[in-house]
Amino acid sequence: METGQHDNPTVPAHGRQVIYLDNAATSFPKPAQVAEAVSENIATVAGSAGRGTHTFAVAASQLLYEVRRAMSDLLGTREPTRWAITFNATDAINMALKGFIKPGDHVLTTSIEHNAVARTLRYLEKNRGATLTKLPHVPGIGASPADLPRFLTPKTRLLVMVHASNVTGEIVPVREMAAAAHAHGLPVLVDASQSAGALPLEIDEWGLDMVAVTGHKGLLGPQGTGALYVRPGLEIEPLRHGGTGSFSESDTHPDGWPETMESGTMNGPGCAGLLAALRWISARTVAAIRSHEVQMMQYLLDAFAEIPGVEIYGTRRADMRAGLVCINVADLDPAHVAHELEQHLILTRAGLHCAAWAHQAQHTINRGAVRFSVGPFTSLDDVEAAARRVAEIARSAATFGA
Amino acid sequence: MRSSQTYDPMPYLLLTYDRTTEAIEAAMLLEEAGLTEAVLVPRPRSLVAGCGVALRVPRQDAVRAAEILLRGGRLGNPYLGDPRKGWDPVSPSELIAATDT
Repeated sequence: METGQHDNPTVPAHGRQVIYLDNAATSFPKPAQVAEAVSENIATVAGSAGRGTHTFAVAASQLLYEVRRAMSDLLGTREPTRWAITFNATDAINMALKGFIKPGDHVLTTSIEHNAVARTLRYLEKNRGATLTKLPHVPGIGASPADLPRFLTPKTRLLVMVHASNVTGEIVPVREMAAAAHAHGLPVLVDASQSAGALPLEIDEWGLDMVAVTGHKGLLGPQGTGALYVRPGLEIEPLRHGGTGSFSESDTHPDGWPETMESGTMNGPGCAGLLAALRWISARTVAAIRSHEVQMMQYLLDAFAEIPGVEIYGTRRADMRAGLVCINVADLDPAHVAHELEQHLILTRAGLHCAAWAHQAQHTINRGAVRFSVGPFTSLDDVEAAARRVAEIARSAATFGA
Repeated sequence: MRSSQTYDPMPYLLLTYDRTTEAIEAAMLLEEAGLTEAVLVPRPRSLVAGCGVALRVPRQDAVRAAEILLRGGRLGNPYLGDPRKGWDPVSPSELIAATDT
């Protein structure tokens, strides 16, 4: 077999310069400190948090606590111990919904939820006798607090909402939504997968009762990390039961945050990377990251708006959306557009982005769309190159027909 | 006044906790306050608590540690004693009185 026989030109070979515009799926690159921290943890820390009292085990416990504290500081909560470390946002959302919703409960949600929320709610509807209502889609902001009162029932127990849609890019006014919900005694769960680390998020100040985050998107940490915040005073059932490193003589699962939510060995190396990422973001500041991403997005939006045949979904104001945009080009299949872009090492994501509801709201459920999403390391060269290639694809479609 | 030559039958303050996170938080509070002699040690089997680690503080730092931990809500269950001889439970007020001699 000759060397290079299996080289696939559509797959970026190691070392080739890639223009990565799929940060909404997972951020890349990460700050260099993240990989270093993961590597150092694997090489030097043998302990499992809460298991045993030797130096390594204590170091592992300390690491988890430092992650909670860094998360608490970055996202504006007073109580680090109310952060349970999870494996991703889906895990956190499942913990929150399955731990809080009881048979017969009614849940309000938005029309732009990711499947992490949508499918979990449908599961609870089918298997736990819960009912759910999707608030009407309000273009630009996803959902409006003004709509809340007319969908409340005596059984409504929770409002679940995404902070920023991974499809429409809409930023839901979660603070105002939470205030409206609280006026009716309703707690809120916010899916901040697409916003934490990238958009301002002040959990306590905004009165958010539960917040799910993933570690590997805007928080710039490794995959396999995430967290769930539940405010003091609000109790949920643990999703998993088992070893917590506490009360080991008892075969009854112990209460008490955060351990009660964290049965089983945690992702120590992932947490080391996440901690490095959280510290990097704190030093850089979310405001500076947001400002950079808005600039990159505004360039893309302005450039796309100039290209005949390109349809942009949602607002053309970058400061009114998360760092992502979905487009379609002429009548081309979005998968084809993404493939063409990849020929030039520009990585985007085509399809439905695990969010059927949001594509319904955006009217792209049948066709899908191509999503471009930026990160803190996206450069002007990157977005210029992407816009140039999209223009070429659109021109080619106009010349030869789609 | 206790002389430095005097044998102290209870040279340590030991704090036990129900959850590892509480013990870790307590240790970090003391570390940040510069009480570097405080260490996490295995919880003695004779003392019942949920968490397997305990925080051990030398007697000379005990009052300051107790004040910091009380303020931070992480005093846990305090004992005075010696790893070789055993531990006696102590209330925060007793602790301060017993140490402040």
